[in-house]
Amino acid sequence: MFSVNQSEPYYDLTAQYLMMTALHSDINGDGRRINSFDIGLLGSLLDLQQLLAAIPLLFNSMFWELPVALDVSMGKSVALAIPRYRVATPPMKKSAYL
Amino acid sequence: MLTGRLFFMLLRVALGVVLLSDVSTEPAYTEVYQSPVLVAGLSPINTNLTTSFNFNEFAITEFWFVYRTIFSDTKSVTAVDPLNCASRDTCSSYFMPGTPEKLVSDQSQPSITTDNFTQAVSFIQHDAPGFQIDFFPVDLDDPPISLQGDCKLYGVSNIAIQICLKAVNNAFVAGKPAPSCCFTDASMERLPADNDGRVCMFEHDRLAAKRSREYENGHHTASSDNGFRSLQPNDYRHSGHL
Repeated sequence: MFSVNQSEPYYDLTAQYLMMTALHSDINGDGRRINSFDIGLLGSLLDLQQLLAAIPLLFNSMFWELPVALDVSMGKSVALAIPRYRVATPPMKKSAYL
Repeated sequence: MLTGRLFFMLLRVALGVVLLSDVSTEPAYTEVYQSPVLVAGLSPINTNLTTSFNFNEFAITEFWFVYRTIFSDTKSVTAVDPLNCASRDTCSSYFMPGTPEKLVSDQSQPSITTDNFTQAVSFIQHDAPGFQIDFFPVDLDDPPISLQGDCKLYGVSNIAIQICLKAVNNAFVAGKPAPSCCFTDASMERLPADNDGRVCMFEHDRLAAKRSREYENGHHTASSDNGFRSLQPNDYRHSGHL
């Protein structure tokens, strides 16, 4: 995904190169300097997290609709349900004397 | 007159009890139809995909499709309580259950049309694996990061990114090097560094181990402890329109 061949003509128009430039901007936070609401430049950190989170989703046979290894349990059933709300049960409080 | 005054006094007492009591609501789901599936959820990471035909071309397209919105795409990712740290104040955790579009249903079952179960707008996935990712900060120097061993430089002559990734127990430590240390012995290429010295190793983040979760009416409890690639069945309830 990151492989850019500079010997190719118009390499700077390839998807790989454009992805590299965009990721560079995201990870380094270059594009966020004008955003005064990004206190602590956490937006750059979020981009790094997004990059890492995309990996298990992308490198996944399910995502590409490919066969999954037979030894992996991949679900048994699905259900349709009607959502509702109910009064929550308060969590059990630990006794101070335990 | 007296009856009215008495009514309002009692109403005030009743409202006081309601307002002072700690009442909260939680989502509950009533199943109206269940169907077996052949495959659902997310499988373990499969790096062999990189050798498949034209993976790079398609992967870039798909990567950009999910990358910038992955945490806000509520069909693919939902925020959950962290498993590996105390509170949400210092951690951010996400669970990826897979999407209904990718599951393989049992074709022998009757089809669901737009006329069936029109009130059932929630989708529940039973016993299917998924990924939970916990992000939490780590110390600057513990564990130590080696530029040669843990960091890799990607790019060309005029632009590059360097990302460090290190496996520590059941977690990954990830981040980018400080500008002052953006050299690698192998290539001696230098990243376009910021001059203000703002970027440093404090941006390390840990991609921590995941465990399975059992979702039951809004409550979830951790079960067995698994590594990054280990998956356990769980139930995931996705609320939303199909």
